[in-house]
Amino acid sequence: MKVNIKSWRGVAVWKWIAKDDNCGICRNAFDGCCTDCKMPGDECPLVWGQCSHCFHIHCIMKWLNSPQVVQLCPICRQDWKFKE
Amino acid sequence: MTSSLDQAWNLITKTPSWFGQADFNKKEVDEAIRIISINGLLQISQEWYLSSFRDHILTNICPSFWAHFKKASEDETEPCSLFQVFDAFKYLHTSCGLWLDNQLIRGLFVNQCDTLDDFRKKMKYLIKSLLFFKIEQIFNAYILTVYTYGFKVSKSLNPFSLDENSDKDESQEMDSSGNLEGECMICKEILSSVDSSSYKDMILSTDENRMDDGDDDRTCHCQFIMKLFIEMNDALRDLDLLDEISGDAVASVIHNHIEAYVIEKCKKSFEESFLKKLEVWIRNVIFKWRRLVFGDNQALITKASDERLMHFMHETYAQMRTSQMFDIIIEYPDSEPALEDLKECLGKCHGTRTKVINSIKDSFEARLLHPGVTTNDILTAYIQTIKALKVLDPSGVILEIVCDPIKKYLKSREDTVRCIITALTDESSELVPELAKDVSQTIDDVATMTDDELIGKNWKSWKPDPVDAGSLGRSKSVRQFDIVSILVNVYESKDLFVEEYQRLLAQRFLHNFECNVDHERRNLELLTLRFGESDLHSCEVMLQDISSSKRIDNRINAGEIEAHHWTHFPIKCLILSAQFWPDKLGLNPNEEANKLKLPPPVQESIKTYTQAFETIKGSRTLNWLPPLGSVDLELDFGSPDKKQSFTVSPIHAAIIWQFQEKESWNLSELSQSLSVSTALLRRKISFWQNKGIIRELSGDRFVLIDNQTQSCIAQSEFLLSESDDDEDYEDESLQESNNAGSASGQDVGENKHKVYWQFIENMLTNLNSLSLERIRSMFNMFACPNGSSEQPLTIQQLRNFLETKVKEHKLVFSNGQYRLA
Repeated sequence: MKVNIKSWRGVAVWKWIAKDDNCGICRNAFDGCCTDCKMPGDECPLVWGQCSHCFHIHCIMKWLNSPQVVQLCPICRQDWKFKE
Repeated sequence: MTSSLDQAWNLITKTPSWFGQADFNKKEVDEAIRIISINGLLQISQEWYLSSFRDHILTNICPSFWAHFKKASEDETEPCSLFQVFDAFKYLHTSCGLWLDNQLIRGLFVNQCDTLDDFRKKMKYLIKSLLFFKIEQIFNAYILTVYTYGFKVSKSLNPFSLDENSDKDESQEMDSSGNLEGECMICKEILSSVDSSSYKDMILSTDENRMDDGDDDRTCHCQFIMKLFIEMNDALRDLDLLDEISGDAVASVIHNHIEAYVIEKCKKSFEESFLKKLEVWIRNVIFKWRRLVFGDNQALITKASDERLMHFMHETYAQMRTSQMFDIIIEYPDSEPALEDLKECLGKCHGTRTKVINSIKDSFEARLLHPGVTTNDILTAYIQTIKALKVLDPSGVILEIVCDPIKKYLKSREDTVRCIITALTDESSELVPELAKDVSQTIDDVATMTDDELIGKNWKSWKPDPVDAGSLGRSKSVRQFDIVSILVNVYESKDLFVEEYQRLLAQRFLHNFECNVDHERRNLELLTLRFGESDLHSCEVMLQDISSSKRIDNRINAGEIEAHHWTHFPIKCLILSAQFWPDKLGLNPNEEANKLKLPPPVQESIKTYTQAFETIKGSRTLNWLPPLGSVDLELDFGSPDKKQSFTVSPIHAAIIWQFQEKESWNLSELSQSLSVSTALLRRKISFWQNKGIIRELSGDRFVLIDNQTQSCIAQSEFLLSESDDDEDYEDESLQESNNAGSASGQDVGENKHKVYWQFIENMLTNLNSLSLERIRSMFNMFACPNGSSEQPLTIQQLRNFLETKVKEHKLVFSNGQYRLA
């Protein structure tokens, strides 16, 4: 007997390849979205800093744009530089 | 002078005995009256006249009148003869008539018309009070019979003039009942009770007259009876007795007739409005007949006045419809005319509201809210009720009172939410248009708004609540007929519904990859209008997932990305955002089947697919859920006619894949190579067994049934296992024999079971409902403690025992729980 597979429909969940599960700023899951977004994934992507910490892009931008702070990573307090 | 006065007095006092006699000397009487009047004795003579009239009534009229009724009163069951009654009143009328009007009385009151009228009134009072100071029950029965027949006869005489809205049916009806074979049943029935020969002669003579007239040769005497009937009424009216004697009888004849007519005409159909027709009918038939009896003197008609009769008709109609409420609700919208009618009656008849409410409540209890009715049916009835009662009572009070039990009952059923959500989202369901109805406020808004806000601009059309609204404690404005809101509010919280909807959506997508996303999207939008956006956010993401994974899938399968090119078969993937899909549903990471090892070519494809995904979406990867999805495959047994196609789940595919390599597998071996537990494997492998592809040999060994083995194994055996039904049948028969075995074992311990039952009964009385497992553990803990001589009951024994009790209607088993019936 031989089994011929005609087509295979599978189910998968997508994940960000990141060290952590949750965003350090909004505490929501990376695979979810930041507080301002509705759709996860493309519409609410992650960014990595050179310090290797990552956040929802909207979260870190808000943080960096707030006037009180110098541009530091909210976790390790190093200068925030986007990872190229 | 004195002698002439004496003579005059003598003449006058003798006169009454001459009444009606031919040799009555008018001149003498006039002269005598003149003499008496001259002597100023007129007053005294009048008084004497009245007192001698009284004596006459007591001594003559009274006995003769009541003699008419004597004969039949000996046997009360005998139907009385109409003619006896006619005779009696005729006699009364003539004999009193002589006294009421004659030359003497006219002479006594000459030139005093008003006084004469008053005097006659006094005389009539005398008749009334002396003759009828006590009316016998039997007499009333006689009168009732007379009027019952009177009505029938007048109806049969002129059915068309009486019954203007009569249609063909009715005329046929008349033909069949009234004039069967040229003979009138009604007068025949009446005449059968006639024993007075004088009337028979009269009837015969009128018959002969009619024959002579060349009239049709029907032997109908209705005309004659009618004449007597009218005469009797005229006589009674003349004596001012009509209302006292006949009022009640007429009213009850009319009431009976209205009742019968309403039920006959309207009971069967809800699809027609009857009230207007009934009103016309009453005017045409009943009022006409009443006029026939009472004449045109409206003052007489007190017990059967227009308003009373109309009211009675409305009441009768309402009563009938009230008893049919359940069917009316179920048949809505066909029954709308009936509801409109009933609504009109509600406004007119006091107390009908409560009756309607009670009737609906009772019929719900009896016909709807019990375990024999499926949740879907209850919901359908509920929706029907909402729609129907909206017509009946726009204030919504009846609806709220009546639906309270339904709500409570639905709450106690586990599948309610699921049924509601399924109904809401099923394309063919009647609820879909309801969902699409425009709602300006979400459910939350309405719940938090105050009365004033809700009444708002429509304050001009505001109406006060009906009286029975008080008990509800909520204000009218919150009451509404929006079916979807009402259904959702069964649980007084929308969260459950949102959760259930999410679950349902997930199941739909996971089981059917080709699901119609547009339809679901439209549904979701409609639901969002009601539930608000925030609660349905994750459902939105789910729909988004479906659409975007289709896009990605197309890109990858088009070969756009280097990493993945499908070689043998296409691989499609549903890419989910795990955070937004419900837990469980097989997505549970702890599920053992998640480790399922897929066939190597599939694993290879999945790997390259994942790589392709990673290329498209930087920094993201895929975690596959191997047990989910579906596979199209074909089993090739070597020859073209031996190809079989299946659509199966991945685990089935993985199992059959293993049998390519080796035709015989031990269960544990197979479990190891697929990384699936043996229990799950055994369950899944049965699919292939049922298809006749795999066969179990003894000792957990499974073999593939293919060409070569087929030839080795007996043909019959293969055929047996090929058919699904045979397999099921075998299983069942096996189980049955097991049951039978334990049942016979039960008989042995019959006495023991009495003790068991007592124990279980007490247990359930205290704890209401328990699952089988709880019952067993408690039972074995208390009834058969360790170390006692009793053997602990097995689950199977206990189940059988409880089953028998369920069959005896001592227990009820629902939702996996036993409770006392």
